[in-house]
Amino acid sequence: MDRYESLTDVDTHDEDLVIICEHDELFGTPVEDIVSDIRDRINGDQLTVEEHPNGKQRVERHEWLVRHSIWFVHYEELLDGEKADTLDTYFTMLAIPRETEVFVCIDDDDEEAREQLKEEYRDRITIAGREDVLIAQASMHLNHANPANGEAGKQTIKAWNNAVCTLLEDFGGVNYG
Amino acid sequence: MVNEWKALERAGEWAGLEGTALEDYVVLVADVHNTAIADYDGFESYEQEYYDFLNQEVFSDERVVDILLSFGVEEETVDAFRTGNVPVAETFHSEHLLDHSLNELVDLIMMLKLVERYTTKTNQEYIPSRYEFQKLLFLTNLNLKQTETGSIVDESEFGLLETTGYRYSFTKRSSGPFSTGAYTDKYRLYASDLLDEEVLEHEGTGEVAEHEHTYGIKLSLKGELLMNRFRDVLRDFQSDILMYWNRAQEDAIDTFGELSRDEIHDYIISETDIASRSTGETLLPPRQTRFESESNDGFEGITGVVNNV
Repeated sequence: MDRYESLTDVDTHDEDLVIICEHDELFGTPVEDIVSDIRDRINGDQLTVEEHPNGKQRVERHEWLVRHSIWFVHYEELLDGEKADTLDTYFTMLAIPRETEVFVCIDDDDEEAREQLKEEYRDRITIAGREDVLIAQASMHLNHANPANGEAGKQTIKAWNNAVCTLLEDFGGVNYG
Repeated sequence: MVNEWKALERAGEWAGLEGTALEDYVVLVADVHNTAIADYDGFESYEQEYYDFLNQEVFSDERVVDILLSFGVEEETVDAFRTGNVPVAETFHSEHLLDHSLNELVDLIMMLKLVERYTTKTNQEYIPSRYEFQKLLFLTNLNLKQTETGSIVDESEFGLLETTGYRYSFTKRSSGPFSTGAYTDKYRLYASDLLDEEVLEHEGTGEVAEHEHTYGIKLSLKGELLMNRFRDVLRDFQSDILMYWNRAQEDAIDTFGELSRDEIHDYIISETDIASRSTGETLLPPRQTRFESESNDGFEGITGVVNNV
């Protein structure tokens, strides 16, 4: 992964979306169908999105995970899944760029979980309690961090890309303690 | 500032929407937003230009006004949407302000004061690294430990650290004293968008998580707004406990703020027994006393900041 030196490096961009959940299904819908609905709402033709299922099996590979600018996470994976501690460590060690958008999906009206997530992760995550809300939020994000949106959109992507490069250099061979 | 699009949802919360009503609103404004932004001629920068766009092209859209009316939002609030006068920046910046317990909150506020004082005193934009940040916290608590309480009959081995100071335990690392708790709290301020970190050098300091780059730390715009708004309250602590802590912190900044990392390292070696300790051993315990919200210890300043925001 290379640093972007100027905004012309960001004339087009490929977003990688990682899915961290049990069956690559959220709100009872296959994630690929949700992503397809999101793609339909992206403006212009300078931004593409490719989903990467099976993120749950690769959570410990930080250098792989951090290259994804959008995460769809089922809330149980963050609160009490077997990889919850690893995910929490990434957050608390600032091992995820702030520009990375982490959508945490609550598909069973668990209000207690919603409050706990807000308490622990605050602005670092976006909580979606419905499929159409997830699609709405993700589409707003992708129409914001989008080269079609002028310099500001490109600058957002450049900042994310270079933050990932920095993290890979800083955390690549180092433990988190 | 990042992810400014979230201001759309915050504006709905500002209008008093919650639960299903807020979710219906988000779905609608996303449609309006995505259509409007496709017609917009590109942004030079986000922040104010984007907030103006939201007011002119999204919030004032008839469909948004209608949905607010259908949810029974107050007429005055709906008018702000209709006329494109939603205070977007304020609602966005003040959301999710720290709602921690008093015990945690005092540390976080004092950490913000450390950053503000350092940058003001040294006339620098940043605390130059995570190394200096950690060591100034340590030196603040060390100052307090080395300050006698003045009690003739009950002098504590912890000095003023018995009653005031950060509740962080510092252990020995290869970089010297380091606190994981302080690192986590710095993250919480970063996650709340009150602190910013930027890479200043492509060479590390040897501090934990600072091996390849050096990170400067400063107040974010939101952090500056917070500190400016409550400058008087935060300058004149009513509580003796906070006053001593604040004084120890200011002394640490005044004394070490302009010193090199080597000079700070040498001072710590000379004032502690760190050289004879093993890696991972505790070098300095946390403040011994817990602050209780009910105890009326004179924390009106701190709690006032949060309540007012």
